[in-house]
Amino acid sequence: MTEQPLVELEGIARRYRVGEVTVTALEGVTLSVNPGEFTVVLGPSGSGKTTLLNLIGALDSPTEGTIRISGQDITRAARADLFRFRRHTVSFIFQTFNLFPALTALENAEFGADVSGRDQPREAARETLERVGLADRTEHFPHELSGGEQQRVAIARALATGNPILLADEPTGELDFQTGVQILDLLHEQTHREETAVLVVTHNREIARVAHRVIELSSGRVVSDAPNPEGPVEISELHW
Amino acid sequence: MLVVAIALVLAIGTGIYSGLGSLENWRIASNDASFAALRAHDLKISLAEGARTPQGQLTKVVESLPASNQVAAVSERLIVPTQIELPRPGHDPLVTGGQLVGSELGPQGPPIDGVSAESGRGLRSADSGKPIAVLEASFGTFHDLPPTGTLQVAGGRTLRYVGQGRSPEYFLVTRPAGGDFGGAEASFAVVFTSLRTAQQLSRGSRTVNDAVLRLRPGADEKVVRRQLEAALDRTVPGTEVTTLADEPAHRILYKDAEGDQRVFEIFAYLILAGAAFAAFNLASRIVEAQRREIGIGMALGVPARELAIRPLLLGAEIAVVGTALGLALGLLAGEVFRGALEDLLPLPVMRTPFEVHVFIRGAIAGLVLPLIATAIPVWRGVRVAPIAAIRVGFRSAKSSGLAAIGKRVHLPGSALVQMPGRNVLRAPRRTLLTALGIGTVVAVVTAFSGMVDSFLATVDRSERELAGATPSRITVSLEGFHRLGSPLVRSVEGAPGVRAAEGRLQVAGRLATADDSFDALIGLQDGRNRLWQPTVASGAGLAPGEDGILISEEAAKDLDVGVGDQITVSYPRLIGPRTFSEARARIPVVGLHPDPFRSFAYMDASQAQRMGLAGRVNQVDVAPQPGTSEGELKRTLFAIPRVAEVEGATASAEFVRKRMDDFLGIIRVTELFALLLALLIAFNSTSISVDERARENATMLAFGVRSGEAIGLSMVENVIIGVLGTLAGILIGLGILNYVLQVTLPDTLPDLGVPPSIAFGTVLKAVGLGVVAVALTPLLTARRVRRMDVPSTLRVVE
Repeated sequence: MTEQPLVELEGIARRYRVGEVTVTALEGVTLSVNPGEFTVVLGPSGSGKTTLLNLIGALDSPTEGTIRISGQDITRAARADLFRFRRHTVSFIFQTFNLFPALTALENAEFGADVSGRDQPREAARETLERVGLADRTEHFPHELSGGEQQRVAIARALATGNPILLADEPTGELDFQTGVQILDLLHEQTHREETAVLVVTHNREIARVAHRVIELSSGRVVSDAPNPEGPVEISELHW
Repeated sequence: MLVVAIALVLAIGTGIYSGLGSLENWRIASNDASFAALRAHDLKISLAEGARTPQGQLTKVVESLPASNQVAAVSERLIVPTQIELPRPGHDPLVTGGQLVGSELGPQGPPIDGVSAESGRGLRSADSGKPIAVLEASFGTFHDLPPTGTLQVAGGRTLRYVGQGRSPEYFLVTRPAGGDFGGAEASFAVVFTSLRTAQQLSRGSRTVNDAVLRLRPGADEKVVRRQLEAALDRTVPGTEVTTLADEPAHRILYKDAEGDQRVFEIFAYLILAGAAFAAFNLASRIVEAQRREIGIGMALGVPARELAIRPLLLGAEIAVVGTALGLALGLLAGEVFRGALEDLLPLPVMRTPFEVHVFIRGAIAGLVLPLIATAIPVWRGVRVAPIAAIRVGFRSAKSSGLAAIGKRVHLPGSALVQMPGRNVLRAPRRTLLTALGIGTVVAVVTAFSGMVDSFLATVDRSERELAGATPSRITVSLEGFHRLGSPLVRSVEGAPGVRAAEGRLQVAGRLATADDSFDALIGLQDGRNRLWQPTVASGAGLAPGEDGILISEEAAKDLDVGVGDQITVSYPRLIGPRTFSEARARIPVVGLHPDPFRSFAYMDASQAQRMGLAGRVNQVDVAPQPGTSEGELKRTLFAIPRVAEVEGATASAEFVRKRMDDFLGIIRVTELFALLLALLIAFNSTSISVDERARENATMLAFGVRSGEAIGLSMVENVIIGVLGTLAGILIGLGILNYVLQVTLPDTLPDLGVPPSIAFGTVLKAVGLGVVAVALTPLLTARRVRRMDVPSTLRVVE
C-alpha cells in the first residue's frame, strides 16, 4: 500500500428533499482509501452505504464537502469531466449484475475495456474472462449463464476497464455461498495483482472478515473506520 | 401520457380511414346533387361533326315519337368550336381554343343542362340574341379571370360575359374526342350563350346541331332512345343519341369516384393497419411490463379475472381515448379532404356529411385492437407460475430472441457497436410490429407518390413523342374539312410568323377487335410531313399508298393484337356536303408507336380516299419563325376566320398533368397524416424502449458512456428498424402501385397506359420518412436519458 490516498472524502454530506422533508443520507463523512486496499463498507439498510459508493463513483454529488480522487477534486467537476472520470477511474459491480442481454459474455467484458479506452479491448476482455474462469463461456449470452457466472462476467467487465477503483454494491447478494466466496476471491486477488482499490458495500458482516479495513455506517454517519482487528482472514474460513 | 400517445396513433388511423373512406360517398352524393340541381339531360342528340339541321326539326322528330309522352322537355342547341381571346390587364391577352354552346333560354337560363352562376349572374330569357355569355367557371378559375368581362370569339366578335358558371357536361372539362382525362380547362374555354347568339356568331342561319331531352319520371329511357335513333336515321342520318351516362364528365365523375375509392381504400386500410400494428405493439409492451405485478397478485391468491381488470382497463382507456380522438381527427381529416375534394371536383353542389358508418367501421378496429393487445399479455401473464412472474434479476432473463443469429457476426468497432443490431434481433416480434407499422405508412407514401411519378413520367413520354423534332409546333384546327391549297389553308400557311406548315387530316374513329373497342383519333399522316412523324417502336410503319394502321403500344395491348394482325377501324365517310356516315374496315396493324395515349392512331394520307376526304385537311401544323413567340403566333392565327382552335402540339399531355395537380391535394393530406403517424409510432416505440432499457442505459452511463452516445445507440437501432420498415414499405408500395396501375387504372382511365415508375425524389421521401424521421425520434427522449437518476435505476430490482 502506498502513502498517497486514492480516494479522499472530506466533510461529506448528502441530503435529499422528499417533498417538504429533508432526508440526510450521509453527514460529516471523512475518509480515505489507498490503492490496493480491500475496504468493506458495512451497515444496515438506509445507513448510507450505497450513497457513499455513488458519490465515490461520481454518480451523485455531495451536498457538502469535497471528494478528491487521485488528488483531483471531482465535487464540482463539469458533467463531461465526470463522464471522463467514470470511464478512466472507476468501475462498478452491481448486485443484479446489469449485464447487457444482447451481448455475449465476451462482448459484455469488452464493453468495459472499450469505454475505458484500452488498447486491444477484445484481448483484454478475453484475458479477464479467463481470469474469472469463464474462458469456455465467452460466446454465451447472459441468460445462458448461471447467476455466479453472470456475476463473474460483471466482474470481468469491471476488471477489463483496468481502472484503479472498483466499486461493488452487494456483489454477493444474489448468489449462494459457494459462488459468493468465488466472487470475493476474485475481488481480493485484484487488490494484490493490480493494486486496485476495492470498495465493497454489504450488510453481511462475514464478508467484512476478508477486508483490510472495515468502515461501518449508521444513519449516514461513520461509526467506525478501522483496519480489520483480526486481520484479513482466508476466504476459505468464511461461513454464512 | 403514453395512453394518449397510443390513442393518437389509433386516432390517426381511424381518422384517415374515415376521411379517405368517405370520399366515394361524398363524391357520388355531390355528383347526384349537382346533376339534379342543373337539370342534366337524360338523352342527347348530336349531329355528325360539321353537320347542322334547321332549328325545330329535332324537336319535331322528338314530338313524332310514339313515346313522346314520356319526354318532359326538349331543347335544341348549337355547339360550335371556336377560339377565345380574353384581354387581361397587365398581361398578354389569353388566347385559347374552346366551344360556344348556344342554348334556348328560359327564365333560369337553359331549361336543360342549366348553367349555375358561380360568380356574376347566369343567363336569362332576355339575353337571347344579345352578345351576352357566361364563361365556364373552371377555365375562369384556372386563369384567375374576373367574374365579368369581355371576350372575343372566332371571327373577332366580342361578347360580354356576365358571370362564370358550371354546366353538367362540363363539370369536368374534357375536349371533344380528347379522351377521358378532364383537366382541359387550362386550354379549353366553354362559353355559354343563347342559341340565337350562337347562330348569329356562327353563320347567321337558324340551324342547330344538338338537342337535349329530359324524360318524365318513370319513363323508359331505352324505349325512347331506340325510337329516337330509328326516327333520326330516317330524317337526319349520321346523328348519334347518347345518354347522360355516356357524357364524359358524368362517366369520369362516377367512374373516378368508384375507381379512386378502390385506391383510397387500399391506402385507408393500410394506414389503419399501420396504426393497428403500432397500437397493438405498444399496448402489449406496456402490459408486458406489468406482468410481475400480475405474478405478485397470483402469488397472493388474487383470482386471475381480477388481475386482468387493471391491464384491460388500460386497453379500454386507450380504446375510448383513441375513439374519441379518432372522431375529432375524422372530422378534421374530413374537413381537410373536403377542401382537397373541392379543388379536385369543382361541382356546384358539394355534399360532404360526416359518414357515421365509415367512421364506425374504423372505430371498431380502434376499440377492439387495444383490448386484444392488452388481453394477450394478460392471458400469458396469468398462465405462468407465480414464481416465474415474480422472479427478478438474472433469473428472470429467458432468451435473447434472435440475437444468437447475430452472435457470429462481430461488426468492426467496439462492443457498443454490436448493441443496436442485437437489440433489434433480441425482440423480433417488437421489431416486426414496429417495422410493419412504419412500413405500411411508407407504403402509402411510396404508392401515392409513385402514382404521381408514374403519371408524370408517362405524360413526359407522351410529350416527347408529340413534340418530336419541332416542340414549338402549333396545331391549327379548322372549322370543317378544306382542300389543301384552299384559301383558308393558304392563309394559315402564309400567316406572318409561320416558318413552315403542313396540312393534316384527323378524324374521330373507333378501333375494335371481337373482344374490345375504344374511341380513337385517327391522323392521316403524310410521309412527307417535315414537321412531325410518329415514332415507330415496332413494325415497318406506314407506307405511302398502302393500307395499314399505326396504333399505340397501349392500344395493341388492350386489343390484344400485334403487328400484322387486323383490327376493325370505324371512321366517318363523307356522303353529302356536310353529312357523314360511319364506315368500317378491317385494316392490318403495320406498326406500334410509343405514345401512352391509346387513342392516337395513324394511317397513311392516301387512306383519306376511303373517307371521302382525299386531298382535304382539317388541321394545319405550323412551326413558328425564329423570334416569333407562341402567343404572338396564336393570336395571328386566331384572327383568321374559320380557324376553330390553335394550340401547342403537346396540349393533350397538359390535361393529364393538370389532373395530377388536382390530385396532389388529397395526396399531400394523406402524406402529412402518414408522416405524423410514422413519427408517433417511432416516438412511442422509442419512449417505451427507453423505459424497458432504463437499466441498460443506466449501466452505460455508470461506466462513463455519455448520454448522447446512449441516445445515438437508440438512433442506430431506429435506423435499422426504419430501414427494415422502409424496405418493406417500398416493396408493399410498389406492389400497390402495380396493382393500381395495372388492375384498377385500366377501368377508370382506359385511354392511358401508365407503367409503374418511381422517381428518385419518392425514394428519398420514403427514406426520409421511414428512416431519417424515425431515426431522429430518440432525440425526443434525450431529456429523459440525460436526467435519468442512474443510482436509483441501477438499484431498482425489476
